Amino acid sequence: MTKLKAFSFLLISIFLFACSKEREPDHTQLYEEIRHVNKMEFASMAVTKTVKTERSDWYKVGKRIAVYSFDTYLKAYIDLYQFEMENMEFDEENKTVKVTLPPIKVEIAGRDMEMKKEYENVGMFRTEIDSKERAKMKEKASADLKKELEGNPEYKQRLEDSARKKARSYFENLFKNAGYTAYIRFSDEIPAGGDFNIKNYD
Amino acid sequence: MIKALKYIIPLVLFVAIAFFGWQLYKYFQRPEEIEVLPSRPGDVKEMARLCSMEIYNEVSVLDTVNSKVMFAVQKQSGSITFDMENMQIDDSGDTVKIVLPREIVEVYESDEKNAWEVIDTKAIGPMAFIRSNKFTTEEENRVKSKLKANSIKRLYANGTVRQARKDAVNNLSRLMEGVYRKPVIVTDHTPNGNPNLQK
Repeated sequence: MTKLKAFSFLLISIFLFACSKEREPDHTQLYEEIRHVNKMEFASMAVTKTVKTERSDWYKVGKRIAVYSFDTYLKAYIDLYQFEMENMEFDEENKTVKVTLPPIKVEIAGRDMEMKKEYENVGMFRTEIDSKERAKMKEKASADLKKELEGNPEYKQRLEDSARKKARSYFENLFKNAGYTAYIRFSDEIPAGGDFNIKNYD
Repeated sequence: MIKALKYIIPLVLFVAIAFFGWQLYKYFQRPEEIEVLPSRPGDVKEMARLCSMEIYNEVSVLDTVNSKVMFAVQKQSGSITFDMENMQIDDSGDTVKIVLPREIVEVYESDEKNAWEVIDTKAIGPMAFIRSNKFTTEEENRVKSKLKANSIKRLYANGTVRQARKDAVNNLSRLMEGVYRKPVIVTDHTPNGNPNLQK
């Protein structure tokens, strides 16, 4: 009788455990760094990286192919800490202002946390693709993108051009609302010893 | 017959060794298992956003999905920005009045090395020993979605968003005073931010 009770208790425990709600995720902060910045972002771009794994050997039965993708985000901005009052020259008589903005900079803001499954074909007799392998694939794709960005300035240039255009139109409108016609340029566009030439600028 | 075997056995052995040697050569000469395809750039999105804070986090996650447990460490990067194009500006009086717009909180996985490190996965519950402990892509993405939501929630709870809004008020006042050349008052109707407006 005692054995029967113990067995019933065990069965009920297993049943309750199986039906219990999954517990909430436990996230622990290991490190946090907050940087106070004063930036203005004028353009962003997502770059999609696709990564594939395939291993087929004559002695293995079935395929093992997986293709994943994720986006990495690039941002173009100006650092307003480098922008001082003396970067604005007002002409009250003509209601114009000459503005010299800091140079456009480009940085990688980060990448998608999730990976998009584009394709997966893992045979019955092959091992499934696990989280560690996916992490390795993502790591390789990220390293590849960094190399690509260093070697090919095309993306950076596209982003810088758009950001420059946007910054120009944003500040022109802002000063227009304040009653001034603004002439905007960037500090990296100034030739050494060059003056601000409104005529040549536009 | 014995005479013939004297030739056949070494020949078979030679063919077998050559075959395995060839396979071994192929094994070491095979292409990389992981292949990264060329990047596909998306469209450039133009914007005008004031960024007052950048965040760098390192978090550990212990989560359970479909009776599978994952323990991982993630490095995150993010920012708190404000849309300057949708800002209410009233410059009709002697003082320019500006209302600080809502904050845009973005949290990404960092692009640093080993930004997503899976330490261990295991199956739990009844019959755990015969079930797979491997997370599918969908299951792993569920863990990451929860992690992202949790990280954003924490930025509100620990006062980071509040500090970012405070910094934005100061930065914006300084910039706009330079543009309008008159006193500027930046009003913040929600100093603690609004977590419900985040994606």
